[in-house]
Amino acid sequence: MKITSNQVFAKADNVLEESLNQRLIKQNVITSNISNAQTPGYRALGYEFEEQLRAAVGNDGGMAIQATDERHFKHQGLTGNGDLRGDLHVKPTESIGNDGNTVDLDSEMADLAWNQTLYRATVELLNRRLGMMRYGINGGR
Amino acid sequence: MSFLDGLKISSSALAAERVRMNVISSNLANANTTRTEEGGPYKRKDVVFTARDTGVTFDNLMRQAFDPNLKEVKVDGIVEDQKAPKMVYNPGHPDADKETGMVAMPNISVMEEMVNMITSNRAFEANTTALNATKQMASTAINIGRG
Amino acid sequence: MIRSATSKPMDLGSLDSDMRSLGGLGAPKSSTGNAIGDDGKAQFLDLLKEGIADVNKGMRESDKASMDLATGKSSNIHQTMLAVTKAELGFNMMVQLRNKAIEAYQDVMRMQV
Repeated sequence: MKITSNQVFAKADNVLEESLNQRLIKQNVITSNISNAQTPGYRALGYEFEEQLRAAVGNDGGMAIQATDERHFKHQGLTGNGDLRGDLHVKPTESIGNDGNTVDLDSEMADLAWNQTLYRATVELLNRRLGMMRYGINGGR
Repeated sequence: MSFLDGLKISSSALAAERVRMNVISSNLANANTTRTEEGGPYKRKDVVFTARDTGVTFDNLMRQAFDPNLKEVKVDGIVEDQKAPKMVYNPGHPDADKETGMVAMPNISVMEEMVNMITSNRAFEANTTALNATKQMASTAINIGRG
Repeated sequence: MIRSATSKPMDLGSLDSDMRSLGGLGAPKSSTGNAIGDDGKAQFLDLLKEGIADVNKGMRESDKASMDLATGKSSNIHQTMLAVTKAELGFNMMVQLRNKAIEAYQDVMRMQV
């Protein structure tokens, strides 16, 4: 989803939609960790995208970046065509299990629950905005 | 990246834990088996998990120096524990050695197997929760814009 | 006068101009630009302007709250939901007010003189 484009729908909608995409990626990363909680030698992965998303939006909630052509510039966190690149990394950890596994199952479960909650909250927010548009279009009838 | 990838990863873990539970059950059931077809007492079995690339890669945007991919779990195989059998003094046992009275018992510690069983159970539940979470997110997405 | 949501979905600018034209209806303008001698009408206009400004503000706050939640800047879900719901209700109220005002205008236009 192009964050930098101007479309019918407002900037907040673009941000919300992009955050949904990112949360799905994060969900799969967490799932991969949970699934490999018993696998010897597996290093837990972490995925962060919030900072990049905030940077792409700008602090005042308006668009910090506008480009008429994707070749004009690149912003940190955004690739050339405006798609958001989050930070996928191996989670740093002090404690490693006997078999080289670094997954903290309880922490991953907590992350899973929170990520899922935020996903649902974002969908709800999107629904409200779409509902308002629909209401306005129907003239309140 | 899609919901299906997450579901596949979770289900691979569920399948792997099921295999492990079967192996643990077999170990517990045979904790006292002194005769097997191969001769000698039952040898404890264990599963080997490996992380296998799902083939789900982040697309070009995400590629970094060491390109981690999402991994699902695969049971690499069931191996026999090579520890020596426990020798127990029990002259009355039919399989006892005639001179020493020692019986070779399987090298299975019931406590260890129980702990493994609990761990396996916990992992199974965790993966079930993860699967349900992904499924619920997909359901939520279906309801975007409704009402 | 019925605007459709095109370039900006919550187009309060159009509501605003609707209200303005209704506010000046039927009364000759004084030199100050307000309806002559009828303080009620000038107050009505001001009220409407205030109301629209409030709704606008509420929308901006709801936008900001939504984006903060989605980007992890705030983790206060209930606050966000409250802000969004208030903005939604404010917007709905405005739309209804506009509808009522338009109905009133149409009633007036239908009067035989």
